Amino acid sequence: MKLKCVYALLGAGILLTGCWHDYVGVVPDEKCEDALVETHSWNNLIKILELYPEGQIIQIDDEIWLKGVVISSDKEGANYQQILIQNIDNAPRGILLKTEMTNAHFYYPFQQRVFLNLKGLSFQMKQGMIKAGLYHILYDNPVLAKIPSVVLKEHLIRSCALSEPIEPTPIKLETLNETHNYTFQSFTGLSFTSNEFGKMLGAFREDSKRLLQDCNGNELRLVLSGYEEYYDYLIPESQVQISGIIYTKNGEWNIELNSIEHLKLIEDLCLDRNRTKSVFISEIVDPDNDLKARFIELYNAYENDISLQGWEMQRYTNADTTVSSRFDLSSYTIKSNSTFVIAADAQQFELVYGIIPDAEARGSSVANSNGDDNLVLVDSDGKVIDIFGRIGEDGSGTNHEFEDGRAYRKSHIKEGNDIFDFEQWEISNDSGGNGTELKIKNAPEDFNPGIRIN
Amino acid sequence: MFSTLISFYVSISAQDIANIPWNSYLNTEELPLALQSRMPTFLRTASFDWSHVWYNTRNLNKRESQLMFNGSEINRLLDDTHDWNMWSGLNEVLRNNTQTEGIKPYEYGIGRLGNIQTLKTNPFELRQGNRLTLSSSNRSYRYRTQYYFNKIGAKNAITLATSLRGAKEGYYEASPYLSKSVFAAYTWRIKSHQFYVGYSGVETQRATMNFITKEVFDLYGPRYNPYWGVFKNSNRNARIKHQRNNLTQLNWSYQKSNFQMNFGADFIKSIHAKSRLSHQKASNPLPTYYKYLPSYSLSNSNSSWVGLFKTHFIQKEKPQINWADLFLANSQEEVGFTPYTFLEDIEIRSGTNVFFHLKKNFTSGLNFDFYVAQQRENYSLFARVKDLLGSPYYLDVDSFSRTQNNVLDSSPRGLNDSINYNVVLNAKESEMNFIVRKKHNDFKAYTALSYKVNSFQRDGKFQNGRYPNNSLGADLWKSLNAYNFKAGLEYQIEGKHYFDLNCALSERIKSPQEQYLNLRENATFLNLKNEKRNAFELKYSFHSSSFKLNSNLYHYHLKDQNERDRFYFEHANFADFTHQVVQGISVIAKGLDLGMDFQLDATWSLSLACAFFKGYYLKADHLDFYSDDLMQFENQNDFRGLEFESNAISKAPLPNHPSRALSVGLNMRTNNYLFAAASYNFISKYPIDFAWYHRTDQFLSELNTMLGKPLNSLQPKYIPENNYLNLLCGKSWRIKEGYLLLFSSISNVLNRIQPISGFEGSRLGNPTDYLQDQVRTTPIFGPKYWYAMGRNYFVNLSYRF
Repeated sequence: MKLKCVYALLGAGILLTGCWHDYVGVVPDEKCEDALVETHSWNNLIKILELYPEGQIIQIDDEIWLKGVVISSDKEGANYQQILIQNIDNAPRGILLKTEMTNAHFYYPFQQRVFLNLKGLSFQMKQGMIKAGLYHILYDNPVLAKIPSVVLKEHLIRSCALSEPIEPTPIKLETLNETHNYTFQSFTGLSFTSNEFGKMLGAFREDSKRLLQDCNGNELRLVLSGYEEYYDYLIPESQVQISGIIYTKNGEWNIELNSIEHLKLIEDLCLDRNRTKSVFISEIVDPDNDLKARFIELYNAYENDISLQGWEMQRYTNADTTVSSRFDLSSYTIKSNSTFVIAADAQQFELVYGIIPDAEARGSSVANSNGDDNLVLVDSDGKVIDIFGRIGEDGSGTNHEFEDGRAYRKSHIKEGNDIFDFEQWEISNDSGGNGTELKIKNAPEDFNPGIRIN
Repeated sequence: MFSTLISFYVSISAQDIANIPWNSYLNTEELPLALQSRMPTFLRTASFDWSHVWYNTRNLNKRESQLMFNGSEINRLLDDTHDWNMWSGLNEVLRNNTQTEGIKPYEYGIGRLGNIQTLKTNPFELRQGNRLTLSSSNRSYRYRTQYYFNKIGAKNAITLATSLRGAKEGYYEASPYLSKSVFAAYTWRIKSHQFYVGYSGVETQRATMNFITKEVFDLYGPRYNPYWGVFKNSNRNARIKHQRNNLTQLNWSYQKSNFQMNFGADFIKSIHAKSRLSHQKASNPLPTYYKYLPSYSLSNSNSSWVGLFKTHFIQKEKPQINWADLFLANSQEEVGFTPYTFLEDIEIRSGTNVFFHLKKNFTSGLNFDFYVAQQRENYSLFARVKDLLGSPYYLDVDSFSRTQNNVLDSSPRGLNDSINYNVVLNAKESEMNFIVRKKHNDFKAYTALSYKVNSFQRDGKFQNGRYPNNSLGADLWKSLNAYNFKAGLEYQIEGKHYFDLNCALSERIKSPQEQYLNLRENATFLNLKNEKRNAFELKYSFHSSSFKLNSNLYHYHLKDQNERDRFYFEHANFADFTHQVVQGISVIAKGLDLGMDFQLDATWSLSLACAFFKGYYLKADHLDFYSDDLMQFENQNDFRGLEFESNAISKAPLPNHPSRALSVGLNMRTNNYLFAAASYNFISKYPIDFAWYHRTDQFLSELNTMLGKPLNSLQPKYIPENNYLNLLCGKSWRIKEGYLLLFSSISNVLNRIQPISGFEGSRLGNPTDYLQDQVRTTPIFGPKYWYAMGRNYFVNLSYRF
């Protein structure tokens, strides 16, 4: 720093100086010394907490130091008055520190390595969620009070170690358990609910939750306080990969975002059109000799199994323009390169064909067509995956009549079609005409459920 | 600093000037002038002993007193105050000064309602010789050295003076001080003409303090300063005032037997810079911010960790600004704003004054003064980045509204670039005075009339994003005028009894600072009425060899005053930095100022000074709020033109002035030039300033509805009674050809530290929040005070040869 001085020489030879410091442009030295403390395992804390009943607040009086990394950031308005840290481990645990510090991201930015001194702080563990604060009695009950900034700075020390980016491998929602609470995790293949597309992620200064689901229907809730800068981000239609801090509440898993950059848009993983269009109707039969042996066969030409969650098989009887009956395929999965047979009557089916059908369209006449109906295979979004016939047109006398016969999808067909294309089918019925084969078919010899020759 | 300066002014009443030759008391001349025996007791007490409580005679603020320097009125047109800083440190050259007490005009200066100081630095009239001074103190500066030289010849005279004052730390922790001044004047005579040229230059840098809450005082003590922090092993202060003042004067006077003419011109150039720490989207860096204090935590969780707080801060270290954290925040890779900046608010003032004075004495005892002056000034007001604090640049964006402060150039700013606001104010003042005096036997009468015209023009250099249509460019000139009338009658009986009756009917033009709502940011002009002031006073003096009495019985009525504040205001519907303007304030005050001297014997004398005061508000017209957040609110007119509940204003005592001030002093003066004095002062309790919004109909009716009965929150909050002891002593010796004087004074010997000034918190506009805060043991937004200095000393050693 520059020191500018003025000198005054008095008659008696006394020299007086007046000096003024000039600090402009001076920057403090960057000295960083990691405190030479011995750090302990996080299990030390967890074992102590497990000794006490769940939810009890305990003050730690031993000098225990933990090493960790900051996983929260309030730069964009999230994590108000709280700082979360987790240990640097393959199976990390997390701690939430309640504090009065605001704008903590300047001092404890995301990914900052830190040391935490437990002595003097109080902890509480509930369902695996560890919270830290200061012990305090409120209305005769012990509570965790927020740690004042100056006290926090003494307990949570910044480390000189370089902050390495935290990029956890995405995990599956099914695998979450108590120990994941308050940790930073990544999930992929999640999508928002379709009726929320285009809406704002949160509400201005109001709490809100958004439901995210993975391909198997597991749920994760994105929580916003409404004070985040990204509250007005519009919900995308596409699937997302999300990284954030997770915790349970009321038995549900919630996630909070530090920044909107941790929400990335990705290609569809489960509702991949390439996959879904590989499911198609491969065979529909109406045996002349046995009504009860009717069935519909679907085929999955994709290399992966496909969940039929939310899928439906719809029947438009005769010339109906609205759906006459439906069969919900939600509980089924169609295996890769395999058929899926929906029988009208499973018992009879087994008797006749000697194999067990994959599903029975009980309570629905979907698989019970007499040959002049239209059938539509629809996915969970209501999108038409495959269609047989022309809606609004009774099949009798047309090229989509299979009365007493069969509609067979030609061998080379590998995907569904949302418009009926006669060339893709070999259709036989009892009247012929319009390119169809005039030939009556009988069960079981004329049909091959469960088998598809490519 | 102002109080130190004012303590060195002498006052001579009209008859004293005739009786006492200037150089008669050689040894007493060495004293600080305030303590010379011929100064009337009351004035001496009010300026020296009562400066401890910031006493303003008759509760008239600094604006009411006038300053004439070699005939020219040195005042600032921007805020209509007088600029005492022009000569700080140069007391040696200001020994030739007079101060009138009361509303009577002096020479050609008609004055306002307060005292008129007339300073004359004509080298012919200053003491010849050299003088070297060394002083030490523990107030704002620690040491001072001064040198003075004057040589008077037959036809010319020259004066030179310099001064250096400094401190690494004054009374308040980490409050550095450095001031250098220089003065030079030369005058020469040709027949009846006299020419003068003089220059004074002062540069002062010092740390400043601010009002604090009682909580902070109780926690951290009387010397606590929240505005500094350790930086690279030295104490770096964030609130520094840096002033450079230059005044050059030219003067010509012509004197014949009964006729005198005087013409003068002066040129002022001054740069005032106040530095401060600002923050955007980051935590407030000051440790006394309300959220960092125990009262805030107590309010939120009813927490009992205030004990932890005390052990932490009192036993470890008091909280200060953490400079390293500010640099850390600035070094994070943020784009879009700069969290912390150290900036300076700068005022560059340059002006010219020209005056002409004519005096004619007629043999019939009539004399006539005619005075005309014109003053032109322009002020350049802007803020500037003083230190980037480790940030690569500064983005000049308003931290609340996120708009550009300079729409025309929104590129990142660097060191020394102007930011936030940049405006030029041009001002002109023209004044014309006529004073007619008539002496007849024992009577003296006068009539004084004055006419003044003030004009000003705002020229904005930045187009402010919040006021795009109202900020850039030059305004039209605005002109306002006012009349001032005074008349008086003196009567003396045998030179012992002396009566003086004066009355004044005057107007004051409100300054540009008061007329523009927010001069820095936009050109909204409030067009406020002139303040009307009516006053009269009756003085009585009695002089005998052993007893002297000076008394002043006065009454004044001020109308159309206004008060402006800017603070953070919270209401259900809006919360923002808000301008509050209260208009039409009417005030009445009356009192008696008394000074008595009893000469007990040749050595001892007893002095008594008392001031009785009764002042209160009569009414206030209405209150208006202006803020950005409010402008967005659809019912913003609900916050304009708010009326006051009459009981809340009428008869409310005027704040920050005691109803009774009493000083009893014992003085000793021996033949071998030893003197000592002790004075014990009694200052009665007085109320602090209240929050205007809390007295409006709107607020009180909401509050009373909630409570079901009127709250006694209208009871004033008092500063308790203050009694303190001052001591001084000194001795002078004759050494060789010169005189050596040692002088020392100790103020507040008993170290009584208590508030001397205060104001109530006005942040909370919601009655619910306000009530909640009032009932807390330690309110969060409670009153703020300035605490008196504890025991402090001043020692002076000077050698005159």
